Order: sequence, then structure tokens, then C-alpha cells
Amino acid sequence: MGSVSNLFYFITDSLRSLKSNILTALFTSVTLGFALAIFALFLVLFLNINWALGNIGDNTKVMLYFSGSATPAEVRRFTTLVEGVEGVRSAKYVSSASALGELKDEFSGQDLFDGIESGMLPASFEVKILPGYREPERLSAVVAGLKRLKWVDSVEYSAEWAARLSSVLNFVELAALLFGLFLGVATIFIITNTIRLTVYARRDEIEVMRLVGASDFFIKAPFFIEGVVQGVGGGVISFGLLLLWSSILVAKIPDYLAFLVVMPVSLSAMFIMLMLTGIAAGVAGSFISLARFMKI
Amino acid sequence: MIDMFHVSKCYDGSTKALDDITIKIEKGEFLFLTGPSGAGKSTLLKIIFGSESPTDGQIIIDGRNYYRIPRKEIPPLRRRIGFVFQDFKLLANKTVYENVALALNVMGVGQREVRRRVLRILSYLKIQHRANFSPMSLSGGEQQRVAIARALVKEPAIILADEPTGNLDPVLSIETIELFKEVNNKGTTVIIATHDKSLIDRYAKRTAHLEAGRFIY
Ligand SMILES: Nc1ncnc2c1ncn2[C@@H]1O[C@H](COP(=O)(O)OP(=O)(O)OP(=O)(O)O)[C@@H](O)[C@H]1O
Ligand SMILES: [Mg+2]
Repeated sequence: MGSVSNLFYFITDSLRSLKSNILTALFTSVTLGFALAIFALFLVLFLNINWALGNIGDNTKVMLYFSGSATPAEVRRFTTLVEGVEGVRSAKYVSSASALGELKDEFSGQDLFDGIESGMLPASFEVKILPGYREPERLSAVVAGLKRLKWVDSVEYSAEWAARLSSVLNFVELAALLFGLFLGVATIFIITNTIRLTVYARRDEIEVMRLVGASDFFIKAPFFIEGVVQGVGGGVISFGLLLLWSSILVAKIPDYLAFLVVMPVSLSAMFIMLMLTGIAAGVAGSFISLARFMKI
Repeated sequence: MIDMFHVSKCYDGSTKALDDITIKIEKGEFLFLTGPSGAGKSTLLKIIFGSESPTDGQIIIDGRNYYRIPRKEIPPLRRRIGFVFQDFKLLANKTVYENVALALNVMGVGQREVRRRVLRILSYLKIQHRANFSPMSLSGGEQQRVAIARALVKEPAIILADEPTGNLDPVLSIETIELFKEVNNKGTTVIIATHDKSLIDRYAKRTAHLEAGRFIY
């Protein structure tokens, strides 16, 4: 019965109400836009810092030294054995000769190593560690596993470096989690309170609609549409703010901090995510605020 | 059509607004509800309308028991009842036309039909020239007629009117009651709460007299 004319009525009614409350509606969208932008910026910074710290963690490596030299067949066998140890990501053989070569490259132009022969530096394996095994305790377990290999002469790694890195990572993660939590709660509060204003402005209308026999659906539908429209507005505004933020910073930022302003996803994906979050927040905000006035 | 058995109503547990009310109202009947201020007239109408629920007793409308009316069934009940509120309940930010149209819009009536019926009832009540004004710019009597128009426009089975002539001069009061009589002649059940002794005397319709929440015969 009349569902098409109902839909038409809902849309014209909510557009009319948006128009007559244009300032409140704009205010809501702007608030929503800033709240979303702040939250998105936090995520961008957090993901980028986390990514950078993860990269540093990739430098966690363990050196395996053994005496003498190995035939290519032995190197292949040893590599498989080392990579079979739990927590090892990869193992790279560094022969005595190439170890000297690297050293010479590092100090190129100086003749410090001219007298040194290739046999004087030990051959080694450079072992990289999987991300989950970089904390001090797990790392020493991996090292113990490596020491158990019979042909290994000595194992070297920086325990201090590993400990410091993992404590920094833990701290950053905890701080970000708390910060994100506070920010999220504040965002929800701001959004629902802002939307409550628009619903509050229409409480008489809700009461009268109920008195003349409107169903809950009929009362809620225009608020749903308004929530969507305000959410779209908020999404667009937050996307604009994000673009503004990164375009200002990209020009000014020193190279070694540039990773901070890199967007972790493509612009279109970012746009879609902000829109969907905005719409969800707008609709949820409308309904949460509406619930109080539906009990009449 | 409306049956009340031993209905009582206490607001916040104190004095009884209604005390052991039993009444049977037939389909197509015309009833005046009278009594002094605070006697419980509005409360009685609100219970029929489902906006207050009785503390005790049973109320049956069209064979359905509405003692504890489920939330979902309130809208269909209200679409069958036209209520003229004592304080009108008109929306200031909508026009007279929109206020009256709201009663049909919530029922899902198509816009063309809404337009036809709203304009007809507005001219019937002689306020069509005010259709595009806000109710707040109207006189008390005009607002009252808008409230009546909104109750009548959906051609309800039952009309409940709370002091519908409270703001009208004697001539308009009589015209309004004549209007309700006309609607009643077409089969609509009409219940009017009023103080106005002269109207009651003039029409010699069934009258229920309330005092301190009880019927006095
Ligand atoms: N919402 C309410 N909360 C508490 N008490 C109420 C409420 N509504 C009405 N009452 C009380 O119930 C009694 C009956 O009120 P009601 O409004 O039904 O009287 P009435 O006959 O319609 O009076 P009037 O002629 O002045 O409109 C009064 O004592 C009133 O104070
Ligand atoms: Mg009253």
C-alpha cells in the first residue's frame, strides 16, 4: 500500500527538514567531518610508524660463524638446516672472500686491508629472523636452536638491540591503542551529541506523528535518510581535510620523516572508507539519539 | 464498539483520576462526557486512544482487548480514531495544509488523494484561505478548526474530541457540533468531552457525567 508514494514522501520530507534546519545539518556534517579526519589521521600515523618500526625490526639478524670453508654442496645443506630452525626467515652464506670484499667496500679508498688474505676472515651465515621471534626471550630460543647445529663455531647477536626494539614496539602499540580508544570514544560522543541536537529540534514532530498513528518505521525513515545525507557530507569533508593535511605537509616535511605522510591505501579506497564510516556514524548517531524520543 | 469494565487510573500512585469506570458505547453513538475540571474526562479519552494505559480494569474496542496494548498495535488503533486534542498539538514549523495532511501521510495515502481530501476538509471547515499559513499565525478558534480538520480528514471510525468548542464563540460552537453530528449520521462514533452545559442541553444526546473519576447518574 502506497510504498512508492511513502518513499517519495520520506525523501521530500527529509530534504525539506534538512533545508529548514540547514545550519544544524551543516554543523553536524562539519563536526562529523573533523572527527572522522582526526581519527583517520591517527590511523595513518599509527600504521606508518608501525610499518617503519617493523622495517627496523627486519635488521634483527644473527651471525653464525664456522671455521674453515665449505664446499657449495655443504653450503646448500647448511642453508637448509639453518632455515629449518624455528623462527628463522632466511639464511645467506657469506664466504670468507666476500666478507673481506664487503669490508673493503665499506672503507673504499683506504688501503687498510691490503695485506689481509681472504682466509683470515671466518665464513658465516647471515640469519634473518621472523617478525614474531624478535623479542629477547624468543630470540634467545632461536639462538639456542642454532647453537645446537654441530658445525657451528659461534653465534653472535645483539641482545641489547633486540630488547630495546621490542620494548619500543610494545610501548608504541600500547600508547596507540589507548590513544585510539580515547579518540574513538570522544568521536562517538561528539557525533551522537551533535545529532541529538537535530533530533531534539524535531521532538514535537515525533510526538505528533505518533499521535496521528505513524508507525515506528514511518518516524525513523526520514531520520535514516538525514543520517545518510549528513554522513555523506561528513565523509566528503573529512576526505578534503585529509587531502589538505597531506598536501601541506608533503611539501614541508624532511625526507627522513616522509614515511609519516604516506597514505597506507589508495586515495579512492580512502574516500570509500571515509564515506562508509561517515554514513554508518550518521545513521547510528541518528538512531541512538532517536531512541530517547521514541518512548512517548 | 467501546467497552470499559471497572477501569481505574492512578497517575504516579496518588489520587485516582478514574475510579472503577464501566461504560458501553455502541457503534454510531453520540456521547457527551461532562464534569468539572480535573474529573478525568481527558484521562478517559486518552485511555481509549492508547496514550495512557489503565491501572486496573479492561477496555475492549471492536472486540479486541486493549488492557495492555502492544506497542505495534497502537498505530493501527490511532489511524481509526480521530482525536481533537485539548491543546491542539499542531506543528508550528509546518503549514496548516501540512499539519492536516500528516494524518493521511502516516497512513500511506497517495499525494494526489491527500491533496483532494485535505483541501476538501479545509473548505468544509472554512479555513482553506489559511492553508499555507503556520498555525501559530491563526486565532485560537482557527487553530481549533485545524485540529478538528486533522481528526476528520482520515474519516475515522471513532472521533474523540477534548473540549472541541473551548475556543469558539457560540455560533461557531454550534456549527462545530453540527459538523460532528453530520459525521455521526454517517455512522461514526463520536465522544465529546465538554464543560459547556448549553450545548448539552441543546442537543439532548446521551451524556455521561464524571466527578472525581466516577460516573454520577
Ligand atoms: N500526566 C498526569 N500526571 C499526573 N496527574 C495527572 C496527569 N494527567 C492528569 N492528571 C490528574 O488526573 C486528574 C484528571 O485529569 P484530567 O485531565 O483527566 O481531567 P479533565 O476532566 O480532563 O479536566 P479538564 O476539564 O480541566 O480538562 C486530575 O487530578 C489531574 O491533575
Ligand atoms: Mg481535560
